[in-house]
Amino acid sequence: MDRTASRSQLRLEKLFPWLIELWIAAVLLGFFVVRILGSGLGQRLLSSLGIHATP
Amino acid sequence: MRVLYPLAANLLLLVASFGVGNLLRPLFPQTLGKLDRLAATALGGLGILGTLLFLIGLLRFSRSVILGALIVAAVFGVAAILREVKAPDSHFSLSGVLVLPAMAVALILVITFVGGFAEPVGDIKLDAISYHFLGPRVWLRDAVIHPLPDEAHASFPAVVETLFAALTSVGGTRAPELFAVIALSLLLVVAFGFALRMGLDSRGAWWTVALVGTMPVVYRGSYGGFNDAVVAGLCLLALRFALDAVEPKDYALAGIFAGLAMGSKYTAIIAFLLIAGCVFLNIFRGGDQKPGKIQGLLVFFCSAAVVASPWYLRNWLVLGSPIYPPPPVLLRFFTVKYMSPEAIHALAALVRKEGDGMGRSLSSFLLLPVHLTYHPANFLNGAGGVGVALLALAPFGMWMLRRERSPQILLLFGFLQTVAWFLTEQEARFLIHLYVIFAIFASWGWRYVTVNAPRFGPLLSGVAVACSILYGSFMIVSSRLDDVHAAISSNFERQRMAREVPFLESFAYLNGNPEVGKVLVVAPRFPTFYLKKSYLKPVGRYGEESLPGVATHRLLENLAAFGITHVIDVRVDDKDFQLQGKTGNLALVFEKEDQRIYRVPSTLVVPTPTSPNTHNWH
Repeated sequence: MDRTASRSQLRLEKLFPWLIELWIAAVLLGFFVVRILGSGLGQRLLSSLGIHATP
Repeated sequence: MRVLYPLAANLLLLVASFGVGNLLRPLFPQTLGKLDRLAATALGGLGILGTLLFLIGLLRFSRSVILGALIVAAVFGVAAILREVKAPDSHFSLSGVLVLPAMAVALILVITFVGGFAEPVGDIKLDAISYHFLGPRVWLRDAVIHPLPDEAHASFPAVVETLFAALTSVGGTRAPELFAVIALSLLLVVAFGFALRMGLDSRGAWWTVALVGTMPVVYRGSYGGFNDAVVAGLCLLALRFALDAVEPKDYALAGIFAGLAMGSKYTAIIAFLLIAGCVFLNIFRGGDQKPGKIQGLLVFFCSAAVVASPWYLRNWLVLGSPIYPPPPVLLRFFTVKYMSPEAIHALAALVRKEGDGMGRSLSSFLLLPVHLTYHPANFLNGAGGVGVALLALAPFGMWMLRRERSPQILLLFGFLQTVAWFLTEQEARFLIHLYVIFAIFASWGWRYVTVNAPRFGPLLSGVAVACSILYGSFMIVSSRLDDVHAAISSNFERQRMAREVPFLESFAYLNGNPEVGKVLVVAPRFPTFYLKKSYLKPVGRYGEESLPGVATHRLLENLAAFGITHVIDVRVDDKDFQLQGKTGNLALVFEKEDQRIYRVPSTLVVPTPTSPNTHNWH
């Protein structure tokens, strides 16, 4: 029982840095998509590249 | 002159605030750092000065009275500043300044400084034009501070607006716009001190300040007539002093700051109650329940109540309710003047509708951090947002500090304040003090990530902080470009006024014509801020009734009794002229597409010594 708990704890500890990085990366990606590409400036830049947002 | 007077007025006010704030010095904890002392002295001084000027202004509010009060306070202020400069420094040194965050803050402050010299413009939809700057203008014209029966919002507690009035009196209408530099700087200094108090080193405190200073929401609450930066600074100081309080004098200090916050904005009442609750919890969790601490809590309550009382007592005595306009629930206990119960219910419904944010369901609450980060424009005055660093990093800071007592109390305060905000009015700038607290957690989170995710954590955290600061700076600078342009170019400023000040031709006629004495304004949404003459607006934009029971058509038949010389009627917000076919003997003297000005035949005018807006108060 203890061994199983310590093993899962160990696995979680190994996973934890990845979870941290994943969280920050996801937040940054969301920010990039929603706030930058979704902004007026972002839309103009995308349009100039021939990419048009569809409503 | 467009630079010199506003600048001189703001400098005089700042020095005077040090003089008055010096009264608080005996209450400051011995351990308080130099920067914290300066911020608390200046912010407390501004609050006390606003309250004192209000009390004086209830009797007389002329330029000589204002100047006299400011100069006396400034003399003490110079002495206080000199003493502070000579005092040894405990935390702050120029060598400890971090270049990148300091540059971001400097950019924002420079933009605010230059843009602060622009003349205020805009229509009545802007709070600055509808009431923040309107009250000061009318008080100065009437040389007495009084509620405006046609504009209920001008009866809000007005520590900051009273300071605007003093600035306008000394430095003209540009001076209150320049005050944003003082308000934002003081908030940032308070944030710096709070960050150090929460255990961050100077480096962490600088990044916290940069995150806060480049948040568009924080910035929006510090200029254009908004008083939220000052209120947030006062709330943070109250919270900090209350959490660290040991003796009754410490609680008195915290109470004074909470009282000044309540004297600046109604929403601070909620913050005050939550601070009191958190302090209560802090005392009982600490396990050292000395009788002195309970006594201290009472001192906290009493000092806050005394300091805030002038505004609430004035409203109660003059308008019928300490909170005016009252929330509908208070109508059971108070009978108010100048607003019918229907108008109050309609206003409450409007506030609720406008403050709906992205919904009030449980899922909306749970998603609030995401919504505020990605869709801030859906919250009133939230455009530009709070940056990405809070959502990305603050959770780790909270996790890291979860076992420490002060962060636990701060988190509880933050949670309860957010719930209260969520249930009442979701206006983004009302949470500025929480953004400061969460920026501190974000700085701690950055450290946590660097240590616990050493592979990509430092890079990702750095990108998150950089995104917040760069994007926020971009949003802030782009929002102030017109102000900066107007400040440095008279031509552009004239063009902007022609474009953004509604009914400019009518204002030119009324303000420049010596025949114009008192003006009857019949359109409720006519922006009287630009009118330099006395006026009577019988119906306000939220259904306020300056002359309860007197219909406009009856008023038109009795213009003589009110000394009205001219009547202005406009088409505004898709509403047609109010006086269609009801002009009687009035002579049309000016007409433009959406504007008509009538002269009252001289035989009808009986000049009265009182101005229309003071008519009801004497």
